[in-house]
Amino acid sequence: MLITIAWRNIWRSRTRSLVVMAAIVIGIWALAFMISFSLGMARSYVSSAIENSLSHLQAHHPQFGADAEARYYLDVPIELQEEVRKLPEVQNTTARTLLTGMLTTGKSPRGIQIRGIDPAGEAAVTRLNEKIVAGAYLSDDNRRQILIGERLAQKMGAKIRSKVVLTFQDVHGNITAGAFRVGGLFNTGNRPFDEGTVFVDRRELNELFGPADAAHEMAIYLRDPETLADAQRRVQQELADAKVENYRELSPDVLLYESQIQTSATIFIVIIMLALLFGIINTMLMAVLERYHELGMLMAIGMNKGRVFAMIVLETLLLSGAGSLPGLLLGWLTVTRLQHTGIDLSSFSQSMEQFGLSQMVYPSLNADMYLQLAAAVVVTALAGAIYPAWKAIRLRPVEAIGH
Amino acid sequence: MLIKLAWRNIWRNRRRTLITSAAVMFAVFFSVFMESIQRGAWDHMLDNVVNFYYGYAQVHQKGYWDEPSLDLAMPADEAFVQRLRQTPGVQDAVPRVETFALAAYDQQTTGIMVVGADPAAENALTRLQTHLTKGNYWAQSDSPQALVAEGVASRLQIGVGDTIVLLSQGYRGVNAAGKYPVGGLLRFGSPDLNKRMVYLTLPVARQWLGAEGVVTTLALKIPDKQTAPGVVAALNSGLDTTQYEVMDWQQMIPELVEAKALDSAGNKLVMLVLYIIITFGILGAILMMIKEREREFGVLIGIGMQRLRLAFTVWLEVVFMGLLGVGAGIVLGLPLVYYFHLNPIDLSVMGEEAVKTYEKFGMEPVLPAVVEPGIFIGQALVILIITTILAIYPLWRLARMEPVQAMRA
Repeated sequence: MLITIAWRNIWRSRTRSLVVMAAIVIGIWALAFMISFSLGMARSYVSSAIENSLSHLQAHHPQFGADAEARYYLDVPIELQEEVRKLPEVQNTTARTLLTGMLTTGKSPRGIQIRGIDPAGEAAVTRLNEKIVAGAYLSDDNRRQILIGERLAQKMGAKIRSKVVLTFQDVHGNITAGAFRVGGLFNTGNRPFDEGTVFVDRRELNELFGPADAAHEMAIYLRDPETLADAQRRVQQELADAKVENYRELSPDVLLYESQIQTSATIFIVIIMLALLFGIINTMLMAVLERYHELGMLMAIGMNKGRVFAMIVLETLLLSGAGSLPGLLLGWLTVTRLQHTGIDLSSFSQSMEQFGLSQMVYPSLNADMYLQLAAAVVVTALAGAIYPAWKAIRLRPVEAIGH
Repeated sequence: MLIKLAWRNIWRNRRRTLITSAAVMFAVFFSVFMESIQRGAWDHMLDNVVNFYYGYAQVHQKGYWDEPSLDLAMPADEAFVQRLRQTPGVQDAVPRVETFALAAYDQQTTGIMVVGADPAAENALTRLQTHLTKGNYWAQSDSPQALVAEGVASRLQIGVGDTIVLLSQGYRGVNAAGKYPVGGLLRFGSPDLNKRMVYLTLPVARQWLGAEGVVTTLALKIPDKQTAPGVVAALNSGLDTTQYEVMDWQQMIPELVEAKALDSAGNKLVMLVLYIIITFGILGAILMMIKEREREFGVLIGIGMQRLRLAFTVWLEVVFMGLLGVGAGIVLGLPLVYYFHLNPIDLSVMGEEAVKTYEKFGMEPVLPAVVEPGIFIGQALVILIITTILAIYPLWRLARMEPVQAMRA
């Protein structure tokens, strides 16, 4: 009953109600877009970090830490890698020797990180082989090959087959140098990485570094990221001497990105809802004030205050609901469409590459977020209804009728 | 007269005026706050990098920026430097020899950037000496000490008095290796600079690299940031551009300039949505205003008030409501922005992760707000434009209004 009355009341002042609804439609629509966009951005950041550089788990010498000191290496013979790979959760593993050094071409030097990799393992874990844009990936046929970033090659004037020299400290702290030939150029889309990293075969690097089975890092890619905690425990048991960390522990910015998704969504919602709140209060207040006479009459003939209050609240809820449903629908349609087409941010490519973000953003929104949006509208409507409804029940029937 | 009338009219329904203005106030307050912080954070970051290292413009040998090799260094030609110094807007041209190198100490090595600098000129340009946290600045223009950024020092576990080993490739491919006592530690605001800078005096760096009489970079001291693009344009048309390249800071760090643009595009989007919603709120208020005063308008037109003057009054009313909100928003926002200008928001309270993330993006975890009149004026303009556009609606209603019918309403 009350609902029907409330619904009809809304349409007594059509234009005014439609204006409020339009504001809500746009607010919800924009929220769906903005949140899905930042979600898409965060997801692409996290997943590209996992797939291109971090993997799900990494094992290091317990003291390797942030300083990446070369003397803290693990002994990773092939057999040990096989053991880890056989774990049910693990899809693939690879081992790396990581050294800080200098790359010199005939023309100029550059400080870089040298990654000694197992070509097959690296291809399976980070798909480095797919990122070669010129020349060829490392293979057993060609000895002493090096892969360098396309951009770094340009900056240093190096080409395929150019001879370059790597200089670094060996395990005893002596400065060592080795000559390599550029076998291929890669482009991962992450500029700082591409300009600061080179890849060579781990066995060849270890010959110069010292210990044959040395690796500073073991990267482990899981079949199912959901099993992260279990897998971490099992791998840790297998590699008792090492410290096994997951991607969140390894890269605090990934963790922060994940946790900030909700924070930023909440901030967006609060801002937009506050802006909507003023419109809702104004409209409902007007609706109450222009019906003073009528409300006084209703109360005089016996409608109790509770019901009047409820009616105003219901009116506000219906008004807001009528705006939020098309808004949610529009938002859903937009997000679903953009999820497939993506948004091209290549006009910002320089900064995207600088921060390791891909240039296509695929907005996406989970059911939970739609619910949050709907809930936010309900809360806003309730908050907006209180003052007008309170105003309505405070009127004195006699005065109001004479109004 | 009309102004007075309009002002009185908006107070006939105080509550509605207040609520509508409050909505505008909220939008203005929020936009001002957001923009001041955002602009402040980026300016702070760019200034950190530009003021403390790049300078607003640099001159190199043609091609050096794309392929920074010592072989593309230019002879330190005094006549040329003089010519740069005499360009209007340029105070000084500071010579540098810059190269990548490997720094080693004990068991540690790290890749770094070595800058061979003239102590006095460099200090005048980037105030290098103020970055010193330990040790002493070079006493002479050819002092043998190296000044090492704190990030490099902690990575190498090296301190003042220890000897740092620098390895690189010198001029025309010669091997460059040298040992230098660490004379002081430097702290830079930019985490990126902090992790990779080592300074030598110019003569020492030249000797180390076998690069006598050359410079890779002439950093221009331009006192006024705003004039930098003009100076660059003037130099580009005056100099032999087949031999030299002149770059302003925006060309040298395009990724940061672009990231700033991307970030502010995001903010603009939020503001746009906010303002659309506020627009609807004001439109709602206008609708109500017209409806409840239909009769009054009818009478006024009936007794001969010009529709245009009436429409102007209504426009004034709407603008007053808007400006009231703008004023309140600014009164509320200004002290807050000013407070955060003096006491920048420190994100390190958010924990280690936040600090590391900001570092990864090359930012200090500090967000100072800028106090810029332009931001406030911009908000007032936006509101003025919105209300003016919205006033078209009452104008249109009034133009079509039939006084007789309206009076019966």
